[in-house]
Amino acid sequence: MNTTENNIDFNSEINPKIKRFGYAILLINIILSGFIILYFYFTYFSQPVAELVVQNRKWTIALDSVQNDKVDLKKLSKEVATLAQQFQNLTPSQPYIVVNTTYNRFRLYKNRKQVREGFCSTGSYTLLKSHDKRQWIFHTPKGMYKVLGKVTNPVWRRPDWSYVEEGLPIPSANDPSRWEAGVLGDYALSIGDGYLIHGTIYKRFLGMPVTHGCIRMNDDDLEAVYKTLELESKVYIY
Amino acid sequence: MSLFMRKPIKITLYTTAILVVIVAVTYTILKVVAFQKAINNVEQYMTNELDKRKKTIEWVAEPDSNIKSLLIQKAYYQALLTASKSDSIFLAINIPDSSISLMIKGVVAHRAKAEQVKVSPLFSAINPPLLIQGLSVPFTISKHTSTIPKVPLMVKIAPRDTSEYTPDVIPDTTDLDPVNFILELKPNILLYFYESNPSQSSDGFNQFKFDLRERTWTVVQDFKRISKLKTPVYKPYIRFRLNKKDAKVIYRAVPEHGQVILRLE
Repeated sequence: MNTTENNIDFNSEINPKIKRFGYAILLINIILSGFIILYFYFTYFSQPVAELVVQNRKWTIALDSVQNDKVDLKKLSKEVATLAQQFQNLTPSQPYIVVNTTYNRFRLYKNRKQVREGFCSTGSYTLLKSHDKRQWIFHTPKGMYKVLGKVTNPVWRRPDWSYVEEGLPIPSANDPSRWEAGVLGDYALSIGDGYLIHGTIYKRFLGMPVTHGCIRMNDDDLEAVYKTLELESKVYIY
Repeated sequence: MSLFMRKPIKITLYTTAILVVIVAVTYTILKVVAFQKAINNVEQYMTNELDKRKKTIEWVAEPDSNIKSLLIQKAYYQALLTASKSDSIFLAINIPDSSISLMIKGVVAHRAKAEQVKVSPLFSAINPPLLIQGLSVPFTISKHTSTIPKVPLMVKIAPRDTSEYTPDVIPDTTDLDPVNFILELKPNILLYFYESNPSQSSDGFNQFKFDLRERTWTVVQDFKRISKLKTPVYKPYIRFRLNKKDAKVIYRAVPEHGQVILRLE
């Protein structure tokens, strides 16, 4: 073996077991790197590369299309204007309110212009399960509703869930103890299915999803909404 | 001879490199084929939808830009009016002004501005008159995935009596969860809504994880198809980056199988 200082064969000094282990690790690393390169190519680059071959399609007509030599510009402009008008007419000219249940905000509109905005409280998305297998979901329904009724000094008739929620015995349907005055504020607007826009004594919760489905507002906002919205006014909830 | 120049290592290195290139090229070629198939798929879907509604393509020669713009507007309004007939909330996406509007019966309930929009080149490969007319029909959401629950439901077991009753605590309304979601429309069109400027580093990492998981899922599905000697699927997409609050509002409000209107030009 040549062991001169200028010509050292390092390999001969490595334990063959360690050498084999080193090779194995290196081979695995090479193969693994290949997989990693492929993985990132597949996930991030293959699609953009495939998209490079795309060419903008030229204007061609299907055989079954209606054959017109020319588009009548005047007629087309009129059609577009009519459609635009039809679409604009979908926004009510009467007052309406839009309620955002994700962030518990409302916007009030009059003459298609926003006249007020503020905090409200909407459904908590709680699923209440009673021990007798009944259950209720406290959410504010989304979509378009109409003001079906307006009352001042509303009185709340406590439903069954309000007793179940507090672990209280449920009184009979017509029990006078069900009626509570003063908890819904000075006004209430009904939007159907028992859902109301009303006031609250829990003002610190405004802006939070805490209700059983109704829309709660502070006194000033509620008064403005009550005075602005009429019967049949639209309520948009999203 | 250096350790790194050993023959087996060299062979492994070259073989791996060649295999990587072969697999990558094959997959890319299959993706190109998938892309062409996707064009046919979208065109077929649009043709069927137009047939269902007895709508026809009514022009023959390539129109000038004025007429083309009017045709696009007409299709957009037609789609808006069609979607407004239904009771549910729908999404109107206007790419030229990067706006995403939540509408109820044609009334704009919420409007968001996307900070970035990236549209799949597939849309420019569709026959333009068919694309214009095809967009006059709303799309339907077929699937959705997200980093937040669609319905933030909390289950509460009623107390047996007043001694078990505890008043509700103030709900946690801090927006800590990152908001990223994907809506899949028929026919396989993907709308990605990603939170722009994730507020915390963990949000950014979660977004990367969510995105990588989706991409990995696509690749896995592709390889499943390839193993059955089928071409992979190319899904046209539109990617949006928008404000976290807007993203959350849109995801929570849009119905599971709601309608989406697209205006691309």
